[in-house]
Amino acid sequence: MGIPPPRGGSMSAQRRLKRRLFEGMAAENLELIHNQPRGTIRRQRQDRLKRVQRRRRRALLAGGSLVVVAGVVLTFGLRTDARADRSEAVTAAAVFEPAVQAPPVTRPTDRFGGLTDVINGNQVQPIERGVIPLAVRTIVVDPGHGGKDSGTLLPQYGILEKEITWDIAERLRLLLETEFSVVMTRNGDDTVALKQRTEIANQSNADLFVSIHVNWLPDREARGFETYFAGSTVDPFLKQLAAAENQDSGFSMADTRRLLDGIYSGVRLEESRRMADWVSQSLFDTLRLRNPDVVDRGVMRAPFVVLVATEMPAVLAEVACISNDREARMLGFPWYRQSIAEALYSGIKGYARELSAPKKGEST
Amino acid sequence: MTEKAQHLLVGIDLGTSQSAIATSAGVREVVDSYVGWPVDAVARKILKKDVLFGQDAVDNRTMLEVHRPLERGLLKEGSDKDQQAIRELLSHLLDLAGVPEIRKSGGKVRAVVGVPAEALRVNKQHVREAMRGLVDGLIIVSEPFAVAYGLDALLHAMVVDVGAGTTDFCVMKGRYPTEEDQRTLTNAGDWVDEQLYTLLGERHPGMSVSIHTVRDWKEKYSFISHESGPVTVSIPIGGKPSEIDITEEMKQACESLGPPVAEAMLDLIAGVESEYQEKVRKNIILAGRCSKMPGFGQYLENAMEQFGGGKVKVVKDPVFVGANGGLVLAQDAPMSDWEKLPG
Repeated sequence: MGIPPPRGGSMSAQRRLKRRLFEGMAAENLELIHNQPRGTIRRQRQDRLKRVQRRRRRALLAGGSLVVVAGVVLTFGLRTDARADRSEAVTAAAVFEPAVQAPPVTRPTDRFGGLTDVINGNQVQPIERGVIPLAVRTIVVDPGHGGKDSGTLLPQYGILEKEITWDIAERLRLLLETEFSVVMTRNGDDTVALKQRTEIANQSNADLFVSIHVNWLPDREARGFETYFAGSTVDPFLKQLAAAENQDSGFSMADTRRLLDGIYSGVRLEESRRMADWVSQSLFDTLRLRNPDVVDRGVMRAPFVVLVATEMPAVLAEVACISNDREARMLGFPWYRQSIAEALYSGIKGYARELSAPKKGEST
Repeated sequence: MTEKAQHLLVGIDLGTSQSAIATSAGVREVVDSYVGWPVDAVARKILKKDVLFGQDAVDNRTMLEVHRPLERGLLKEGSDKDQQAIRELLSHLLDLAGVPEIRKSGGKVRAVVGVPAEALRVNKQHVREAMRGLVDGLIIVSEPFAVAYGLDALLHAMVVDVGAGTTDFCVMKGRYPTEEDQRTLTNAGDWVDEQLYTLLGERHPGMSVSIHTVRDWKEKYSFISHESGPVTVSIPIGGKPSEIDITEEMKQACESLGPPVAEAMLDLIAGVESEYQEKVRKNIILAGRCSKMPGFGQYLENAMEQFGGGKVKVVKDPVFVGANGGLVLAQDAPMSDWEKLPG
């Protein structure tokens, strides 16, 4: 057939090209063996490279400084031959001393207004939501289903919900890990009971919880995404959906009161709603660019166990309807799953920023 | 003797319809990807085997529990039997290539296995699990990448591998292909079979042919946008064999494969930097069993016409091109990589 060799390249260029291919191939396989997210090794390599480059730059700068110092010493030395008695060593610091010195940095006095009073317990007025900026450090990502629990089926591709949720969760993890610490409720195709998932979240002292699911609706024309936070519902379909998702939760009757108390602790409920709003908006803004037919089916309350039994703001996103042919097809494309992950990331990040930014005018 | 020469290197193309193996000792074997276990003791006694493979399994399917473990190009999940089937299939391929003997004599066997371009990570892990202990070193790659590598099409090229379960696309940009460089469609040979089966069923509601027979007809008579003589087959209708012309159904079924493949190909080309798009368009490699469908290459070239034209080359040996590519990869892989990637 005579497939041409790589164009415009010498043998050494081809060797370099092949070496690059093998590096990528080995990295992908190693990530597979060690169950690491895609791109981990590449990222580590890039980080190492950046560190080396930084060190080189520093070394160059130091070298450059020495050259400048040497030059200055030489110049001044030559000039001061005639006035050697007045000459003093010229340091690099002196050479680079800025002409005008910046004013000294002073610590702001109680930047957040009444924070000291609040901490000391002197202030009894309701605290503004934004008075204590709350940092989000750890996020739990919960890929729905897994192991023996396959979830729904993507019939055209023979792909199961658990595979889709895992794939999106991994993509989300990669994105979140650039800024947050991420805890996954399952690490691969494991069977993890809902109770265990909530325990993982609670024990890791996570700040936020995001559960990823894919929807199946009896109306095959129905499409789009739904975002849930904990709460009771009167919608019979949602009750049915929650019952289905809550199967084999692992919770006993004795846990009921604690769980119900958990739902109605106002702050967590309100924060969950806020996060759900952020996630829903972001899903719509991002996905409509890729899928103009996408429908925001709304932010809703439902008593999913993973939302009820977690102790931090928690949302559950049904990111698409695989009962809809078009969305099922879209889910088959990695770029669409990536878009979903990016949308979730952007929503979570937006909420986290809002939470950590001092804001006035909102009371708890 | 060099380090590599002491060992056997193996390339495997794990396909929905057929799986092929090529080894550095010159062995080339292909097996239909069917695995069957006798349904009971009587069947086992008649067949005198605990497990049957390929055509042997299809021919004796009435006495067997037959599994096609790579439906739609992906290892089916949730069924232990399919997991077992994939291990049996791989083990059988390695047996045919004489791998157990080499390992018994102290030799090392290192394999590169090609899987569909977008096989999920979980699937790749299952393949790795299925190969555990069967070889000493294992690398899993996307099938079209193996094809491209085997044909030395490493830069500004695209492989369109139209198999039975999936059509895999891979653009070679001089780097190990990422997700954005690859795509998998389930519009492939099996899909054409299903279309043809449905069309024939609609026209002849009383016909009694299996999907296997329809698949055989497609293998023999398929064509896309190509003048073909009448396609006549014998179909039992109402128990009576009848000669019927299926040219129109064959044309319709085969041509339904064209648009999604062309659309995905053009979409991937659109993702290439504009200055290289022409080079890629002129270096499209059509591989896989369906690549032999008369007129397919021409169809794809026609689809590129409005974008400045392109050139499609059809591989000569679609059955072994993937396994051969895997073997070339195995031969070129640095020893340091093999040490990191145990079987």
